[in-house]
Amino acid sequence: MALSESQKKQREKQKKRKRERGQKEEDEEKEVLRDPLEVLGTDIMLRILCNLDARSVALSLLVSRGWHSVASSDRLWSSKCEELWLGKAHIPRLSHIRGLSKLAIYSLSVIDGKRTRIMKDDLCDHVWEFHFNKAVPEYWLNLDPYWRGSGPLMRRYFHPDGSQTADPGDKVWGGHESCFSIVTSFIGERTIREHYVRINRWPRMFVFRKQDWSWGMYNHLCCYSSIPDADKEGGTGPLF
Amino acid sequence: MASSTSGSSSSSKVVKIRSSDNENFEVEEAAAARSETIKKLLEDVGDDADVIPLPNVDAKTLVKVMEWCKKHMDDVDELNKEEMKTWDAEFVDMDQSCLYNVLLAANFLNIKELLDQLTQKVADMIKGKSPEEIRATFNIKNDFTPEEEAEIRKQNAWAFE
Repeated sequence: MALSESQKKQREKQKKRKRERGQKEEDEEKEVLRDPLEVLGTDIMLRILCNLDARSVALSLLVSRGWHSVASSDRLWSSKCEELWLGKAHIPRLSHIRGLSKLAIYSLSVIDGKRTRIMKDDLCDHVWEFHFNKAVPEYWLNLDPYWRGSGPLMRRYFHPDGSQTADPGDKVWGGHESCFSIVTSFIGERTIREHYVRINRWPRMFVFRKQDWSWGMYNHLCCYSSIPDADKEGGTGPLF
Repeated sequence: MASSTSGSSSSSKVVKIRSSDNENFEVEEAAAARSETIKKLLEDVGDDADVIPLPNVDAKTLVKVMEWCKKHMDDVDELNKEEMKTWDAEFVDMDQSCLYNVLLAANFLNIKELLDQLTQKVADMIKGKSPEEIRATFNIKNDFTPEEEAEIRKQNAWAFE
């Protein structure tokens, strides 16, 4: 309780004849601010933090050691992780590392979700939908289900040995050998100057990341999109 | 308009409860039963109940809690939802020590909806604030070393950007 019985009685006496509103104002003036964790205890504090968005909880980690121990609890962050992953196309593999706290997993997931540098694991772990852009000759557009408006979209598969394949019935796949490479060049230590994926000797494909953590690649001739696979056991993408 | 306290026919029954500082209150059973703890006690003792003692709740706090229970005794229809929201918002707008006491009481008396409203109220006092602002709001002393603080900032850099 915030006040001892005698203190409370004294306070009551002081305010006896005050109107309610006046009393409230006086209370606010004199109020002794107290740590909710100290007064309410860990369980209620946890309930309070459960009402907060992830960022606010993370900021509260720094309030004090006591707050840190409540605000970093797995119980809190496992539901925050579920919220974060809900509706995402891919769940990073590093979120399945054993022995990490749920808070650490949340942080790593956020960092990985913002990563725009694509890795071989990203290409190989996901199945990709592929379609042409309007710039290609009509012959190709007519073979593309995306433009015909019928049938499932064409798919492309990247393999760890650096090769790329398509489905057996793929109309635009000529049975040729196909290979890919990721090109990343840097300025200084960290700044990326150029980053693209090259398939065969065709024009470079620029890489971008979508809100739902899925990937896109494009040049003026075609577009690739990674197909959502959030249910894939063990997650996807690089582990670093 | 009919009194809102007579919404359901059985609600006119009255129970007696006693605060930790030995004040007795007569409360409609339907209101008191918003507390799972009181409800359970009533079920256990049946109609023989004389006074239900609540050793963890003082009179001032109990008055507040019962004020809420009375207001929330009946199911709210759509029409009154907005009005109720306003009432609830005004209800939780109390000074910090009162808020803590009512919160502890709601926890002890197991009134989930009230507990939710009050924990939300405290959460709103924390939401979006920097660690320094939170410390100022609740008069908390920073007991981290600068190294520890730097480490936490580094590990959760996404939140501090």
